[in-house]
Amino acid sequence: MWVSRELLDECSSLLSVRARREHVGDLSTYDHRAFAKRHDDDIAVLPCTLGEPVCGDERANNGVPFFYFY
Amino acid sequence: MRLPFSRFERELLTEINVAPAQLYPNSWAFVKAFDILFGFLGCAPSVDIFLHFFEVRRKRNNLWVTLNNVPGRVLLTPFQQSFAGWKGKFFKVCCSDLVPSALDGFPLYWVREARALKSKPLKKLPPRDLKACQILAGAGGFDVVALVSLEYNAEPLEKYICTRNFPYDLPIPCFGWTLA
Repeated sequence: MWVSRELLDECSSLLSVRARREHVGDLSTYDHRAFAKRHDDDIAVLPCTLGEPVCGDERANNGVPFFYFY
Repeated sequence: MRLPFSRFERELLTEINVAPAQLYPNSWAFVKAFDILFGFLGCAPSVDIFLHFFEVRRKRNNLWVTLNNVPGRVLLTPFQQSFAGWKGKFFKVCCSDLVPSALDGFPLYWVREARALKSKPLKKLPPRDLKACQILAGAGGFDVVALVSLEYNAEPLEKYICTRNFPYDLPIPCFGWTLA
């Protein structure tokens, strides 16, 4: 296990089926709430894998550095 | 939010030692509004000044982090009283090979040792920041919703700031602030 159990317990339930559906769906229907989600050619915004703990590091992304956001 | 993060946002994340996702939405709204306010004033936002008005608190398990107004020193009002449902809406942000520095200068991954910081008292601030804090404190109570929504509307933003007790028309250098 490459993440601490405590961290995993806190984060493992954060990505729901609904969230996954929204992540991979039409951005125009995404509930952006207070924040807009933007990206361009220099920044890539990628959906998370269903059930993926948001406490992961680049090992969860094929070694490519990234950060989580919401 | 806009990506990549501003210099101020990076410096603040580094100072309090947290990854972007560890900050609560209202806290990000404070950061964004502070950035907008200083941008309007033509000044570089200062982490020291920000941490005079806000305290850093860790939530349970020391994982989630919030920025809270210091009682009696409210510079910005919360964006929303209560957020819900956002913890299931995470995504990943990567940078291309063209701009590898987009991820430099702040913790990328969740940090267990976020710094819970008390606000910085005036006596610990350099003179230029001290004067700025006094002026901002006099104007305080800026509406985060207004600042964020008017970010790209200079005229309404100026009108809004005019409604505050803020001597924004004075020459900025007289405060000793650093020009952006």
